[in-house]
Amino acid sequence: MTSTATLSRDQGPGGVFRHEALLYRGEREFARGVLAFVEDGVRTAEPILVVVSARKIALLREALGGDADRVEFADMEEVGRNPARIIPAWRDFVQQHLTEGRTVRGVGEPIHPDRTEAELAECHHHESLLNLAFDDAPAWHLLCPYDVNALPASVIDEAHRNHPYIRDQDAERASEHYVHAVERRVPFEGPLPPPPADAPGVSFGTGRLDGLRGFVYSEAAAARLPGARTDDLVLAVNEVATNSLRYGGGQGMLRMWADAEGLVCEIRDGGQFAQPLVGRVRPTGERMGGRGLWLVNQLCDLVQIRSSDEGTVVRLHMWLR
Amino acid sequence: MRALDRDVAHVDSTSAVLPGQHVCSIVRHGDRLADRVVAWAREGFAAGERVVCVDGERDEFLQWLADGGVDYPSLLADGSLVVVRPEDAYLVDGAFDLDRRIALQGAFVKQSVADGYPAVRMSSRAVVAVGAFPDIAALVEYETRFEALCQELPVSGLCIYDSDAFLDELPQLTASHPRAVADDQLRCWMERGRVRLAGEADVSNADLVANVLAHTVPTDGSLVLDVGALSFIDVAGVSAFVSTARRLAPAARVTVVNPPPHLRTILTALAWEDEVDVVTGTAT
Repeated sequence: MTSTATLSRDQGPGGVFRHEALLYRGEREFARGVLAFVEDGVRTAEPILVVVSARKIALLREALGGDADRVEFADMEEVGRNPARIIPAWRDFVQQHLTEGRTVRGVGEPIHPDRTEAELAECHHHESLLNLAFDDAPAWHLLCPYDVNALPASVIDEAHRNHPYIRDQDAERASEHYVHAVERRVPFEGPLPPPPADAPGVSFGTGRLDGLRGFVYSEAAAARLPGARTDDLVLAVNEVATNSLRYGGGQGMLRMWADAEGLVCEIRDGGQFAQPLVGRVRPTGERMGGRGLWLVNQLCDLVQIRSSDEGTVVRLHMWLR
Repeated sequence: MRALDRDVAHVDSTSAVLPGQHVCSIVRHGDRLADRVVAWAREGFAAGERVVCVDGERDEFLQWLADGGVDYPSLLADGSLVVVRPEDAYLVDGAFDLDRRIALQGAFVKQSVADGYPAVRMSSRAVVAVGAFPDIAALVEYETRFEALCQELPVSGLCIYDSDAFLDELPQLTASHPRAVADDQLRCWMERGRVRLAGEADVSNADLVANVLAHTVPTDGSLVLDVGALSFIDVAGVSAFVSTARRLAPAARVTVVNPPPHLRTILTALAWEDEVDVVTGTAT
């Protein structure tokens, strides 16, 4: 993890990474809460990155008026379509600005009512992993808005578990339910719905993956996944299966099916992942291994990894919507 | 990249042997070796070359030709097909004598040319041939000398190595074929100063690519890899290019021409885009 190593506490003005959930009810409370946070940062000339939906970016820009030019915006639909891509984006921003010796602020809203169950599970993992990814980082402040009106209570409960601090319209406080990522098995825990009983599958081993790739091609073609996305999916499956050959006991099993959102490829093997941030650390420098899952996260819309001493399951999702 | 068809990929990647090429052809469990060898022999007959095959007692090769619809008795009768036992192919008067053996091979090629054949192509399966050699070191030495012969005379070789049988020796055996390697998925060879790849490069054969790259000398500060006939490449394949680029830097650069779409995706995603040059649309 080269990137964290360069983010030593010495570079910051002291303190620690502050990861805070903003619980709001409706758009007016969203605007009020986020604007107060952003305007504080503008006053102290802190670099600010706001990653929310395009609609909310427009809302904030209008409310900020001339101050909007002092804030960087990014569309969460682009940055966080696959939530595993968000931590590297924050790391890039923090690293870029901390070299100038300042604290920075961020606003990130990865969770919205349109997220599917599978996406929500991985968004929660992402929120929890933020605490791990920036554990050793110098002070910076990330505010994560949650729409209490639109989201189920279970999602808000998770926000309490994944954020050490909670604020709403009235107050800021430490979360009583916060659990640090090192005390959980994120992102390797959590149930997955079983594959359909009739989902076709193919086993692989004996050092070869060409038959596996052929299987993914034909299944993706039958499901009418566009050509470029099929190429991405084939490469992604290939990289996960390469891990199975190298570290997962030399063999594995692929199953593939369509769900309401698109195509799912599931690779099972006998290995176990140890690094919670696997696939979320931008490759740099000389190290040649460990790049497969990074690439997979760039290629797929959602990646779910469940791993224990009983083996590993990796699910790759490609949306057809 | 296209939908994978084993038959197409197989012929694409492994059959063609160029004049003077000495190919290390790796066979893995489940590979269809017969198709590979029959295609190789057919190319030779089509080019009017003399085809020599070293075969054991089981006449496996002749059976493959027969199954492939080749009328081998008439080819044997007119001399354009020669089948020899390993002891006759590699020993001289029952003893291993490398200098004399290579001299005899050279004389045979020259005689074949005098008889009107444009070239000779030879094939041998190492699990059959190895019995005629005192040890693996002698086999490696023979391969090294045969490689030199291929560069000197109109002769090519298809040397078949079963990866299971030669697991530990495979690196030195492939190293004695520095200009061409192949397996069921991939062909990698040197041609007119370039390294060319055809088929599919992945974790199963990235080491074969690395072998050819390790023996290629850059010209004018550039090592050119033509990957125009590559239908698939993954991180393991691209990392073989990047490792080579790092080994050659700063004296020379690696230039990849005619890349499949995914090659750029991989280079960009893994922050390797500055390490190799990528050129699209260079004539081959």
